[in-house]
Amino acid sequence: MPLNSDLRIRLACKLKPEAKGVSELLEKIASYGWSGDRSRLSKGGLAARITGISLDEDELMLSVDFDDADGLDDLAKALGRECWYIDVYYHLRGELAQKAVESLGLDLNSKNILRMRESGVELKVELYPDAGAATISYRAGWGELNRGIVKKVHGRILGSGSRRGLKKLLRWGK
Amino acid sequence: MSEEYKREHVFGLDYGTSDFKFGPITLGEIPEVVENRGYFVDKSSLMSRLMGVKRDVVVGRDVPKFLESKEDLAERMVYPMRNGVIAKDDLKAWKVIEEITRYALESFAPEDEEFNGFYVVASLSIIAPRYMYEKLFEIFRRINDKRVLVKAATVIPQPLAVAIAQKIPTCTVVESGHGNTQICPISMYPIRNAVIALNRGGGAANILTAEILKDAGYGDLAKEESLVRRVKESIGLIPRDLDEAIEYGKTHLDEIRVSLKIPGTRIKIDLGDHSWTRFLIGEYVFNPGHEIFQSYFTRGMPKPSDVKIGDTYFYGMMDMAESIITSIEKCSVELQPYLYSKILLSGGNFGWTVPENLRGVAVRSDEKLREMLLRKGVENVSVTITGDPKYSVWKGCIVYGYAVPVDYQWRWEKFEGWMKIA
Repeated sequence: MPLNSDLRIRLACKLKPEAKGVSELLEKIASYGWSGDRSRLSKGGLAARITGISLDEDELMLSVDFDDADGLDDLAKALGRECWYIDVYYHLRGELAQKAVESLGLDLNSKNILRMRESGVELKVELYPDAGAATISYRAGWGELNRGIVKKVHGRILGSGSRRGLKKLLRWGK
Repeated sequence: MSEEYKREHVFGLDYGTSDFKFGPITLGEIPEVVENRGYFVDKSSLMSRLMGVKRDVVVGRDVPKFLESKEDLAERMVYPMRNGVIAKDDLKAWKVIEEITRYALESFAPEDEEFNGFYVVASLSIIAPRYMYEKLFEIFRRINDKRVLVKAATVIPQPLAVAIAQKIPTCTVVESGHGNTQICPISMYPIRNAVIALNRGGGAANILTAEILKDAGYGDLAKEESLVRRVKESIGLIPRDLDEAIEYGKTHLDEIRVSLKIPGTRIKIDLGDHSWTRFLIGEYVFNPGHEIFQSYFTRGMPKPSDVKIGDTYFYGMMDMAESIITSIEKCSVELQPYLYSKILLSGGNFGWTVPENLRGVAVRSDEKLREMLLRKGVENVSVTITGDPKYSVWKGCIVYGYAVPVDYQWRWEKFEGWMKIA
């Protein structure tokens, strides 16, 4: 199930230059417990949809259907071992966007693209005040993934114990 | 311009008959939505001059601030895509398209100095003729006069966008919006000579809802289109079988009766003994030919008529299952089973809900169509409503733009690829 209308997490994975396409990647990440096909990956109760594959099969885009920090870290690491780098996107709306942007010391009311260092990576923050939306993204290679960057940034954006934090924020929004 | 830049700057535009959905890839999975309309301001009026109104046409969220009397509304408000096709010489409609496109792109264009225009994927009705594609490309070039907002653009048919979003290369897409319904078999590409268009969509159910409101004593409210639409969405039900549902409604009034309070007003709507008419609203979308609707037509409710727009016939009264069968039977016999086995329903007109206590009597759109097709002898049918049916075209635009490489140039013979704009 999708998270909710106020939060989407997307991963764009750039395959290594020597990689032999998405099918090979899927075979490889199966050894980390992530199984599926060209439209969906799952492990236990966690699932992600493959929403796009570039025509030359050097990149794929996934939409993650959960907000669990450990699960996201596990998926990113599985992909990261086989990819050149991964771009992680948080698409936020409404109250959740407001709070996340404020927690980074920014203001959602000005249309802007900002870059800032956070936990050793460059965060790109795109603010869309007309839509009450924000997109926060960063790029991570295997080194950053191995240092646990996914959980650190996840906690920074959604608050530690993200599910609890998310539910709290959504309650405020009602 | 690198592939990486393109993938960060894909921008989807879905020109629906009623709503315009737009936004960049970085919005995630939910686009912005405004009504696909424009209001032509009376710039000669003293008040416009006093207030310094400089725009010819207002689009987007500002429209309500400029509305004048109801009489002016009919003359000055233009819904350019009412039928999915704009006549070549309809200057007002094209002006609205230009302004609403500019509005969409400016809403999200970053001030970042690295920004060098979006890769725009626009989606039009499957019946849109070639000149509409040409006009859109012209509009993108004009928009760039002040500031480069469009780096390259492409245009795809709405049903194809749905198939792309679902990643299903062989299927039948039924895309139903406010103004019309398109049935389009797809086998890698849309099979254009099998397309069937219906001259009805969610708007037709609104008209029936207005009649039901009048009959229940709410004639004054029936004139307000947005309120009627809200009533339809709140109380309308799709019956599994209309005759059985009516019978059920009349004998189980407590279960079927609903009271609707309009927030922020004193308005409360209760259909009382006529609550069974809730089933008529949904049925009308799928089968306006049912005999029960004759009494409404006799009393003056406009019948969805067959019309010809450009080279395309829009059927008014053909039931939806019949139209799917007619469309699929225009394809090769070998392909037909595959087209029946993947019927995708997309568009806001399929987003009907079923109250838990009425499950079985009332059904979802996919269940209704499956039932109708079975009754017509079609077996092995699979009908699926796309997730977020209202946004599936926009999502398909984003997926398409993401996948097509920057060096894949536009080809008129295939209607695909990127047209360089800046």
